[in-house]
Amino acid sequence: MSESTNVATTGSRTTQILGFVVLLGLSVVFVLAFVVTEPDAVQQDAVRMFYIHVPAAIVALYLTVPALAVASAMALYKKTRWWDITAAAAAELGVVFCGLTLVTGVIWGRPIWNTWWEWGDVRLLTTLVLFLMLLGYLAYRRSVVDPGTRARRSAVIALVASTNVLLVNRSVIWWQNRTLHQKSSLIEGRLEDMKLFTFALSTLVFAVMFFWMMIHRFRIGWLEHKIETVGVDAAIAERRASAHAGLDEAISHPALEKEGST
Amino acid sequence: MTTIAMTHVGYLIAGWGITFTVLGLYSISLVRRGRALSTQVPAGQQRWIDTDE
Amino acid sequence: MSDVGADGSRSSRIARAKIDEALLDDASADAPKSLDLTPTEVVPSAKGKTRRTLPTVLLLGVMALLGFVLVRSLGDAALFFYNADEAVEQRDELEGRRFRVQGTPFGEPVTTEIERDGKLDVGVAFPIKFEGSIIDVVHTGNPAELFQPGVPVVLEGTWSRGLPTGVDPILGGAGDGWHFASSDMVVKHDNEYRDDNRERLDEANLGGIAPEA
Repeated sequence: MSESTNVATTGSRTTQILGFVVLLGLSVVFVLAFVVTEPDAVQQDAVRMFYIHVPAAIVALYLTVPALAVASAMALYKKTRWWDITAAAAAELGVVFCGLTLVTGVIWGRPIWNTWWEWGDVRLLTTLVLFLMLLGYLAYRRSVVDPGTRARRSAVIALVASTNVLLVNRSVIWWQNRTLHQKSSLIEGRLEDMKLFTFALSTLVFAVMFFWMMIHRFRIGWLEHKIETVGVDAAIAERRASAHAGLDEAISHPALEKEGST
Repeated sequence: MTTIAMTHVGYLIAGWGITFTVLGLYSISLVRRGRALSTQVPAGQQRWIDTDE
Repeated sequence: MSDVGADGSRSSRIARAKIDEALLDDASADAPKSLDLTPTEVVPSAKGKTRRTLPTVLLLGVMALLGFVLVRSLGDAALFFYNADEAVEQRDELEGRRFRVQGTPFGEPVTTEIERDGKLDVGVAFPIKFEGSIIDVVHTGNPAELFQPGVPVVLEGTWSRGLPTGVDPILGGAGDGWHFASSDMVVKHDNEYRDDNRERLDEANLGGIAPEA
């Protein structure tokens, strides 16, 4: 159909560049993580999990959730669908990256801690709660039909859920002797040069990936919004105008007028 | 160059494998969802930065 | 949209119906299936109720899961483990209870045969310390992969008097007539990452220069 009028993608020049940077970056990170960096003195090669687990956690906690919180606050303040859709996009990415953080953590924990999961660990618990809250947020959005109500209430839920990030971040400090999880290696400067560089690059690439996904996910939300509401009317109007321009003539055709009056 | 056997290979394959698979599949799904929806909305309505409501 | 009704003023009702029909025919030929292009009045949220059931069930499921996690964890989290000094201090209250204790192993762990309740097991005996307090530990079963002196562990088990049959007194241990009978071991890895000296290891594996202790 009308490919000349419809842009059949959510991509753009910007996303193409970002996507290319991500693919290139991930390749470099992979080589650094598996070929260039040395194994750890204690963890041996299991330390290579660090280069995906921590960047995923950083993106989840410090990009997706803050984006969700800011967008939700703005959705309440400005009352626009733009911010509401941004919040929904951030929450979905939050689920993806928070989920990956949990899964890679569980896999790393087995050889290093000798356990897949510890229910009593505050860091693990708060991260799992955050993940479930984000899932709940998305489920809630699907359960409310009215856009205005949905935007308002889900923004409040999101703001409450976002405060959990503080708990996740502080858990290893506040409950030092109640958590198995180690403290931040970064803040205390416990990473050697090449490991630090690999980790930093990986985090950067994950962050760019976040922006790439965020742009696409937002545009999907925007399109859904258009289809749900004004999109239907616009599509009809567009069709009337472009596909059947000839019908205008038919409308004023004497035969039709006559038929209509009988 | 000597070949160095790695420890914890199974865990590494699982961790990196799951991460790349999830991120890859999610990215593909984003692009596909975007394409499917784009065909249903006229170009004029596809303005992303739009705060007119 | 205003232009939907705009041409209505120019045509009769029947004529408009015909146009709509024509539009519909055309639309069904190439429009995506999910989009209904019937030019009727759009009534927002008219289809609401049925759409809500599944998401609501999902939402309740997630909330139930959240509740489960909180109930399951908070009890444990309040006191996940005692540090070695706390465990020694509160020995009287903790006796007979199963709990977790944290400390850093030191000295040389000794692999040993342990006879407990007439059952013979293989295990490892070693002392742990925390804030100056020392506990003698007899762990039944294989220790964790990363278990080594200097890396803190969290052990789950009970306080027991004396030492099990077959276990020699623990060198450098507390020797206070008690030991911690552990059955689960978790390594509490610290946040330091140091490069492994691969060359030295390779040399050792090849029977070359052995790494110095």
